[in-house]
Amino acid sequence: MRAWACSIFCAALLLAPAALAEIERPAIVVTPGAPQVYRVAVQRFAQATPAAELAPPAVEPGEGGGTTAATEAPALPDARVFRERLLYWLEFSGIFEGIDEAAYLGPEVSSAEPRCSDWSQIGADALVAGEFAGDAERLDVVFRIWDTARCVVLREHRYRQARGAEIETPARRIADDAVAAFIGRRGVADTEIAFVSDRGGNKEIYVMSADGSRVRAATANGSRNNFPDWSPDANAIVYTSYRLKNRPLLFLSTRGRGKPGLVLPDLVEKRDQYRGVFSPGGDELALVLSNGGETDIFRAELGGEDLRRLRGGRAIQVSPSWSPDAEQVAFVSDRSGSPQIYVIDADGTDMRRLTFDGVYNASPAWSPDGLWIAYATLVNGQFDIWLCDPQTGESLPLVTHPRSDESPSWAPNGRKLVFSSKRRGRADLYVIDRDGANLRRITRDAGNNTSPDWGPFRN
Amino acid sequence: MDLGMREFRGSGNREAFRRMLKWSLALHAGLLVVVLVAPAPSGVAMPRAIQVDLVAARAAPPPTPPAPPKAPPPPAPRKKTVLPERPRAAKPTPRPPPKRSREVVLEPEIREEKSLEEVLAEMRDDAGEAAPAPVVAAREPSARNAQAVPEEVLKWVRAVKRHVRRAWVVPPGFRSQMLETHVMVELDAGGRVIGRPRVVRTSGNPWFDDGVVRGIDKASPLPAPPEPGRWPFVFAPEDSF
Repeated sequence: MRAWACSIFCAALLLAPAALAEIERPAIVVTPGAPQVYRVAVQRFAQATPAAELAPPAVEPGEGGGTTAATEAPALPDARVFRERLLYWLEFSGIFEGIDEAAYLGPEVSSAEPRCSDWSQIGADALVAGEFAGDAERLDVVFRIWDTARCVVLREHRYRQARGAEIETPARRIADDAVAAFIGRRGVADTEIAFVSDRGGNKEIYVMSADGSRVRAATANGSRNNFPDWSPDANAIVYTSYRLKNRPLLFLSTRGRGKPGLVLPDLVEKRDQYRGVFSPGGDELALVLSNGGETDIFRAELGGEDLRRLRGGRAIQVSPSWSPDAEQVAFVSDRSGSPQIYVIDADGTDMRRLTFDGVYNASPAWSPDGLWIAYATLVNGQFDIWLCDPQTGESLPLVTHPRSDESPSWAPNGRKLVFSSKRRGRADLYVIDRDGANLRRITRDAGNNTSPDWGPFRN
Repeated sequence: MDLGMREFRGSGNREAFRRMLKWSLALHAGLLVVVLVAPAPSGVAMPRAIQVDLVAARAAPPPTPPAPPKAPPPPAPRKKTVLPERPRAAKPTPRPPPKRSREVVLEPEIREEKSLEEVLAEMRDDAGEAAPAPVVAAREPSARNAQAVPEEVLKWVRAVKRHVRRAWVVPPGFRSQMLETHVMVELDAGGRVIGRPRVVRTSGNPWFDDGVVRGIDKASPLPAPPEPGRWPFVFAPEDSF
């Protein structure tokens, strides 16, 4: 063994001078400097392409209202407002910083072929350009994202929507596309967060944009509602409500498609339904059900068919979270005497304990890339948020604060988490980068906001 | 925080657990006292190595420092020592030491460190100091074979580093990852980048590699090289050393 190692070492010694002679030039090792964000110039989208202007009259002739429709059609979205919204969502990503129009050397309005030097000279790493087109019924938003240093289009796409629809949606999606073009993962501007708030007096489910804007109620039943969980297609939320018989039962709230109401109607009389969590495929739920004595983890199809117990026993099992490949479920059990995080295969076999430190670990949330489980852990009488590597069981602190931080939930791109914190007395929702940077409060001035669930990407 | 928690609280387990915890804490405290108070076995002739071990064991308090892992089951004391009452400031959390932590390294602290390091590096560079950082130097053939690389080349290398790191954007998510891209860049006599920089060893993340190439393009022209031709570059977030 030793001789073997020695011979390798000697060979390396012999070879080294040859390698050096061949390279002869020193490698120039560059480490990161200050720049952390790409500087982006956003042009006003051109109002209409000639082709689009021709289109409406071709459809219109003969109709009485044809002329009014034709005059309405050119009234495309205000390019200046759209630019501002786009810039807002680009900066929301945390990887872009806008450049003021006053600094532009190139034109303010998009053209098909920009001169890249106009943009690289003012320090722009990226240029977003595009056009609006459309007719009376639909609006097309075409955009291109340029890498100005190399003068190449990194991504281009056409978003089409109904004419009356707001321009906020394409602005968010284009910003998310730009993020993907530069770092390989979509941004989360076009996602939403569901949460519980008692701002109206009782606990209801609310939904808001990922930046905390546009808060609206998803339930208003006057009862107690808790634990919202998004379906993977972003069209439904399952939640726990006491609105029927004052017992915890699972309900579905939908975006119009799909039918709202009881999720497990056949189990109403048999078991309390504490919590439902959609599987990554969306066709199943991990469930916390109780028959009065035992509280266990189950799984079942969406209508309640094929109900199977994953884990039971005398201990209490709660808080399931699917691994992104749906092969495993993390949950909390007090079988050891204190609540700890466990992982079990989704077929109910091979249960193993993940956390051994701390007297109270709860709320596991599996990251979208599967590499981490975020959880809340009791430290000095309050909760902090830690990350655990499910492979090794090693844990690292993510959020520590003298007041409680709870209920972590991952953004669908895995770059951020939302959690609930009482650091200002009342519970509010905060967002933080996975590496601990950019802590931001996203709920303001209204009641206690808890139990967030960051929704999936929307198509 | 969880529906389940109410259940836990209600159950008698909690009392039992508390009792166990008290016992565990008491036993640990006892052990600690014994270790700290017991007189060092001074007079006895002992093998040197063992004595050193004892001293080391006393110097480090039993519940492990920030390093999270492998602590034996009695868990409560660990976290309490890791995270003592902290003033309000939310940000600075101890930087996680284990290797796996690379991706979770806590940014705010690092950024400060980095900017300081950066300033120092720049000062060092401006002063024309020879070896910038030992780790970096070790990677460069020049360190092993210093006389092979003339001083003016090293000076140019430092100038190029300064120049490129100003142009190269490394977004937050990439800073704390173990990424390293090796690139061959062809320069003309004036320092202008000829053609496309060639990635000779990928970091494994195409977007990181892309950002490197973008950074070189943006930095062009570089300071005029000692001689035109192909020069090897290594781009790496500092943490990966």
